[in-house]
Amino acid sequence: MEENNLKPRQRARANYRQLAIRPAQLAKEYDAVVIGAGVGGLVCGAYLAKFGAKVLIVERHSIPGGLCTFFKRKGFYFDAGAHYFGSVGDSKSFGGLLLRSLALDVEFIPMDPVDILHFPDTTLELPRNIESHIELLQELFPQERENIRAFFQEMLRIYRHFYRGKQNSEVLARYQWRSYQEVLDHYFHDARLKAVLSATVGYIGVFPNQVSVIAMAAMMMSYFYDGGYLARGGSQALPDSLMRRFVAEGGELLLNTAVKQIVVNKNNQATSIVLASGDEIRARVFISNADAQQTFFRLIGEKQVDMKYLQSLKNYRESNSCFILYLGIASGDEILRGKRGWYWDSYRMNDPSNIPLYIAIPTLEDRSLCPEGHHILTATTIYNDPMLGTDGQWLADNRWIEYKQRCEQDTLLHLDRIVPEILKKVVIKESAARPTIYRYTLNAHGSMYGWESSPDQFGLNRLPIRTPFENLFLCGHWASTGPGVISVIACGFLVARKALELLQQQSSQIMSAAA
Amino acid sequence: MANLESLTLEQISADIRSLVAEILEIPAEQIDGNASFFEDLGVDSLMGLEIVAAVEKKYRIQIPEENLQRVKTLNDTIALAREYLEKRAAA
Repeated sequence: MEENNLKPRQRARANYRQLAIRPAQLAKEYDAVVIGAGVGGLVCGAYLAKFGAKVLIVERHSIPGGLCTFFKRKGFYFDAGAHYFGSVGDSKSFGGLLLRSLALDVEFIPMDPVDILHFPDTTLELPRNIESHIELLQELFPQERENIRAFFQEMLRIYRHFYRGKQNSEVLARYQWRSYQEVLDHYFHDARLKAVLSATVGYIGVFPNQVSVIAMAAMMMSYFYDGGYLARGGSQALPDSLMRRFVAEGGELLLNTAVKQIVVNKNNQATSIVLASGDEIRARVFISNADAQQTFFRLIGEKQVDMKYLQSLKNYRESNSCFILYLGIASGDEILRGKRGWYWDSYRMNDPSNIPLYIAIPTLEDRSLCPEGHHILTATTIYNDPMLGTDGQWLADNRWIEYKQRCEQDTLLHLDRIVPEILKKVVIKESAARPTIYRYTLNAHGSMYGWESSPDQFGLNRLPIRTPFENLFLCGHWASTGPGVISVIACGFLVARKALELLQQQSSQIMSAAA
Repeated sequence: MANLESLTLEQISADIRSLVAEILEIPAEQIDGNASFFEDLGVDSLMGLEIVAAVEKKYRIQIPEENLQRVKTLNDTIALAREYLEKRAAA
């Protein structure tokens, strides 16, 4: 009971110290080594451990979670990246089913309305129940009544086929090369309706005419059909709980430790990892929950990897990054109610100058995240910033600082139009852009969503979890299932299954050799 | 908003038949109400959950998990939905 009196993050920090192992406790050999303690890596590790494998997870950062993590300033616990999760909170839904046997001690709070869309002339509160959601749209666009029903049915069908994971799905094959916009154009005439149905595209970060309809169906239906949730105690509660489960199943987690190298041999097998300390750890199976390019170009090394595979890696395009403004504000609930959600300046969703702003105010649902009389508001914008010079080099540090300051000013002015007098109420201000996200996650150029989720890079066209090395798997948003918390949970589960199969095969080979 | 008074048994039966048909991807009229989902219709446990979840969302009801094993046929599913619609109406 005493533990419950601790602030959520105090509780977690005590856990990190107790639950992580020290370098001196490392074994020389494991069944499986997972590089990176993002949500995908943790789910994978927890399942492997649960089914009896001896697992080590190595994480460079001081806390687990990857992009699903927090930072603290003066009693405010900010979600750094992920805020809300689709599908996780109901054991009858896909996400709930995947997490069910891990029996996590996370309380998921249902979001209702599930999302709020703000256009210049109207605000739409999307009801949590999908039937009510459809009825609302039918009332607003009566001439498209039947089309709306048919559209949602088809999106749900794509979603189901996507997560059922059956090979040779005709539905997925039919939509593999379709953009979301093409499907909208097929079902609807009304440009405003199409815009409303595109307003959450920023969750995967591409324009409707560039995003894969399968990626969009997976994201939209996980929120709108299965339901969106936030985790009590902040987003960090999810990785924290996964970590506790992992350790309870006998897994070992090493924090604050970078992996320097993945050692491979001529038979296309990974054999060990080398830590920054120089310690070498052998394993039978390796899972990289790290950035895909880092994995092959830096940890393994170009010379060791099949040329064709490297070339395909070079051809993939990364998703965009974000600018995120984190504010602690001294204010009551009133002025903030209903302000969450997506803000669009026009209905021209494919116009690059129509940049959306996303506002999260988790403290309206979870008071434990900041001091009384205050709130947390984070604002995210999703546009292509001047990340690189024409030569592909990072901008100089001072250019970044300048850029960040400009973004802060723009975003604050935007917020001032949304929440009256907010500028006077700000007590804490922090921000993150590409370099910040890169610094904490090593995701290429601070990408937020792995590869861009366009038709040529999604579904069958995404990087597979299998690699040129038989016992090395990729896990996370760079691999098969794509971006978003629910997708990387699915990926973790999928990779754990493949890795267990391989471990069992190896064991039976050893057994039969011994016999 | 669906409520029990406005829903006839025929409507509920037809609605759930079409929900199940959508999940199983077979024509609605081909589903025998007493055929076993699992033995006759090739439903796996994931689809079983999908059926219950779809019924919940359609009628805005909550069906506790312990009822899942009662969902063996289309007619079972209809009976279960009706039971929870009645419970809601009584509440």
